[in-house]
Amino acid sequence: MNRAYKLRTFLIFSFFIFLYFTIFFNLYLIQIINSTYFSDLAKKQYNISVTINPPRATIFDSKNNPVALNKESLSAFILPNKLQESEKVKKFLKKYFPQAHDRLNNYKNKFFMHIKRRLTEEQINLIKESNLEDIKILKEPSRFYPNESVAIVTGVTNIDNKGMFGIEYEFNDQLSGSPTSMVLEKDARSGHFYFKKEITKTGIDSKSINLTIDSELQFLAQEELQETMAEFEAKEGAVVILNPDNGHILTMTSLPGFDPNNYENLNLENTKNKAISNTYEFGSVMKVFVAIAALQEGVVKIDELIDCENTKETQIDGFSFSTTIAQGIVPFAEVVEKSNNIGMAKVSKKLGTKIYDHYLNFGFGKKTNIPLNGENKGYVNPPDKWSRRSFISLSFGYEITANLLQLATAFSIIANDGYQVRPKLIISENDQKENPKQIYSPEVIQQIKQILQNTVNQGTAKRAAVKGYKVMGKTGTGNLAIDGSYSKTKNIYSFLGIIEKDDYKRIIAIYIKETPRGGKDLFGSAVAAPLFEKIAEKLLIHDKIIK
Amino acid sequence: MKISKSKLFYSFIFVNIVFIFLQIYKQSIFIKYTYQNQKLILRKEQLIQNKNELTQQLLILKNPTSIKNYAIKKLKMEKIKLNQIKKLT
Repeated sequence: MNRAYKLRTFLIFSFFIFLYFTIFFNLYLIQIINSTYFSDLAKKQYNISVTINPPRATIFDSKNNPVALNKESLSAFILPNKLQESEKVKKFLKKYFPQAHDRLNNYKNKFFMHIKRRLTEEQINLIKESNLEDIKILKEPSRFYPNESVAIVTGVTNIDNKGMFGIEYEFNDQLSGSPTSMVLEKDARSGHFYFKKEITKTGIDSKSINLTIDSELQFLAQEELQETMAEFEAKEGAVVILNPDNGHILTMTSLPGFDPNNYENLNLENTKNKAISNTYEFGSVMKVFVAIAALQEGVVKIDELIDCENTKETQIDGFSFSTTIAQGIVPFAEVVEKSNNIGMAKVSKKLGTKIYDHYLNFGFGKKTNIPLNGENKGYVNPPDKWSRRSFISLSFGYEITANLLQLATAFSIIANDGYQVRPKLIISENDQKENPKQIYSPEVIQQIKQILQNTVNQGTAKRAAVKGYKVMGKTGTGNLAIDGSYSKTKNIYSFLGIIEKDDYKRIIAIYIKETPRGGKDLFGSAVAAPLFEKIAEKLLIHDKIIK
Repeated sequence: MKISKSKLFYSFIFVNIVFIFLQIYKQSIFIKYTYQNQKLILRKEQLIQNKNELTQQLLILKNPTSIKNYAIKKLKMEKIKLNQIKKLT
C-alpha cells in the first residue's frame, strides 16, 4: 500500500469524521443547547390554543315551551389593509352601508372591520349579489324569541349575545356558562382534526331556566289588554296573573311593548316591565287592605254602622274630600263594597299610625325580590312624615305607591286565607320547602272575601263577574299626580280580583293608565273590571276549568 | 438447556422491535378512533344546528299572533266565549 493511497484514505476518513462531527455537533446544538427554543417553535407550529364558549342555554316557560333560544345570525366584515377591489367596495358600502363607509376612513390600515352585524335577509342578498370577494360573511350566535309577549320578562341579548335586561340579564352567567380553553395538537394537513387535546381550563356548562310564566296565557292576556287599551286609547297597561297556592307568576305583561326580534329598533322606554317598574297611587283598590287592617285590629266590626254622611263631599279635620256614591249610615261591609271614601277615612282615623304598619305587612314599600332588575319598591308615607290629611289619603290609596306585582302578591294573602306567599318567576326545586307564614286571621279574611264577592255581585265591580264562578275583587280609580297636583282627567284604572272554582284559584291584577276619555264619569268599574272578566274567561278556557 | 448469549441478545432485539411495531399500531388505531370521534362530534354539532334551525322554523309557524291572524282573516273564525263551552262528563 503506497503512501498516496494511505493519505487519500486518511483524508476521506477524516472528511467523513468531520461530517459526522458536524452532524453530531449540530444535533448537540439543536437538542441540548437550543432545545427550549426549538421545542417552543415546534409547539407553536403543532399546538393551537382554542377557547370554546358553550351554547347559550334556552329559556323555557312553565310548560317547557322555549321562549328564548339560539339562532345563528350573519355578520359582514372586510380586511381593510388587504382589499383587492378597494374602489368597488367603497362604492358598495357608500350605497348600502353608509355608516360602514364612514368608518372605513379610520380603519384603512387595520386588519379587520365589521360592516354590519346581525344582517337582515335583504342585506345578505345584497352582499351576495354584489359578488365582492372582499366582503366576507361570519356566523355569530344570537337569540330568537318565538313569543313576543314574553319578551318583557325574558329581556333580550345585545349584539355580543349578552343579556341586556330581563331574565337574559339577571341570569346571564347561568345562561352563557363559561368557556373551556384547550390546546390542540395538529399538523398542517389535519384541517379540522387534531391528534391530541389538552384542556387547560375547564368551563362551566350553560344551564337552562324554566319560568313560571305560561307563554300561551301571557299571549292571551296581552291580546285582551291590547284590545282594551285600543278601545279606550289608553297610554299604558299591565296585567299580572298569579297562582296564590305557590306564588307562581303565570303572566306578567305590559304595554306598549316591543319586538324582541328587532334588536335595532328597540324603544328602551317600552322595554320596561311596567308591572314592576312603574308604581302608582292606585286609589280604591287599597281600601281592601285598610279594611283587613281595621278588622284585624278590632277597630271596626263588619256589621258596625258607619255614618257616611249621605253626601259626596265632606270635611274631616278641616280637610275636604269627595266620594263617588253618597251613602247614609251603613254597615262597614257596605262602605267597602260601594267604595265610600268618607266611611273609609273615618275607619282609618281609628286605625291611626297602624295603617302604615299594615301596609308594610302586606309587602308595600318593599321589593317583591323577584329576579328581575328595575323593580320599583314603591313608597308608603311613614307616620313621621304625615300631614294631618295623611290618614285620609292612605285610607283610599293615596300617599302610597305600589307596583302591580305588589298588589297581586298582597291579594294572594286573601286568596290563601291569611297566609303570605312569595311571588316566583323561576321554577326551582326548593319551591316545596317554603313554609308560608300566616299574617292575618282566617276569620278576618273570610269576612273580607265575603265583602269582595259582594263587590262583584252587587257593588262597584259587577262587570267583573264570570257566571258560574266565584269572583272576588275590587276596582280602583286613581288620579295621577302631575306636576305636584292630582289631575282630574288623567287617571289610572285598576282591578284586583280572585277567581275561584273548587280548589282552583287565580289572582288577576290589572291596570290601565290614562285615556282621553278620562274624567268624572269613567271609573275602574268600566275600564278594568270588564278586562278582568275577559282575561278570566280566557284563563278558564286555557286552564280547562269548565263548569 | 443452555441458551447462548447471542440468541438471548437477538431475542431481546426481536421482542423490542415487535413492541415498537405494536406501539406504532396502537398509536395508529388511537388516531383513527380519535378522528372518527371528532368526525362524530362535528356531525353531532351539525345535527344540533339543523335541529335548532328546524325548531326555529316550527316556532315561527307556531307564533300565536300569526295563527290568530290566519284563523280570523283566512278561516273567518271567531273568538270563543266561556258560555259556549260545555263540559261532557
